[in-house]
Amino acid sequence: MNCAGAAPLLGSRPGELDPTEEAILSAHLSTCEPCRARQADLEALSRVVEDGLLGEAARRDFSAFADGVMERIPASAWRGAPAPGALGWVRDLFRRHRVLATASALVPALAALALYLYIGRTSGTGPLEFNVEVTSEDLAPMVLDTSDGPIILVGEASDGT
Amino acid sequence: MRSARTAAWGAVAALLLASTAAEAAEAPLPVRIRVLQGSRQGTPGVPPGLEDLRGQLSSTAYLRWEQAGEVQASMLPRKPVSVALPGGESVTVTLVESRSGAATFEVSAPASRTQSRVTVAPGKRIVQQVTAERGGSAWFVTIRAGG
Repeated sequence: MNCAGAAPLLGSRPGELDPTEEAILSAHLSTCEPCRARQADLEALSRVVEDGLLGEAARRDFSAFADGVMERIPASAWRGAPAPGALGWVRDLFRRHRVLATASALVPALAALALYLYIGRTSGTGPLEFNVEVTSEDLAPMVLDTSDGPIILVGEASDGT
Repeated sequence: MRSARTAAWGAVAALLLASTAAEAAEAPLPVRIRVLQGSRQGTPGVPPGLEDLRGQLSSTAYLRWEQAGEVQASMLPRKPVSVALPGGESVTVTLVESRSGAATFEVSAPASRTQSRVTVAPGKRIVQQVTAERGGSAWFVTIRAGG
């Protein structure tokens, strides 16, 4: 390899050349003083640029950028962090414990249903569970309430026969 | 499109419910009607066939009871059933309305010129005097919904 062939390979980054190119370049540099000097200059320049970029990056303040990114992430997306407020707490509870939260919500509803059915069933056993309307042209009806049902009496005939 | 389909299904469900409720309201109701004579005189007693009525009958001033007739019918709303009394008179019983928790009957007794409208729960009995008392006795009908 001559200097013209070695020139494109000078200043390459570590791992950029394949083993064959590295071997050829190394053989050329061992015999060519100008190319070794050129290689040393390029390596020095690379270190200077690298150090400069790192220093420039260190001087920059990225806190505003980081805050902007964090603001765009909704609070509810944070796994493990409850959403603010009572409603957020309920939402968080439902999200984490769906079955338990649903069962907890159903318990009072089922209790109310059971109470309604119980009242509906037992209300049919009282003695006054009927409604009576009686009309008579010339007698005086009387209604007796018993636990088995109503008794309607109309009395005695007015002629007494 | 989705809301229209939901509304259509809702309308179908409402129609089915309404038709089921109407069908239940128009279903025949087995009713047992008995004709009794109550007397103030004679040996006090309730025959074995009237044991289920003892609680109600003993609440009256009549001491001796006898059954004179019985009608068992599957009554439909607004279809009157005529029940004959031994003296040639009759009583008309009409099922006005039947629901799951109650049945309403109208009893018309021309002999005493009395009309009643009674709503009772299933299993309860209506005991109604349908003639004025004459000579210490009177006629009664008992009505029990559910046979």
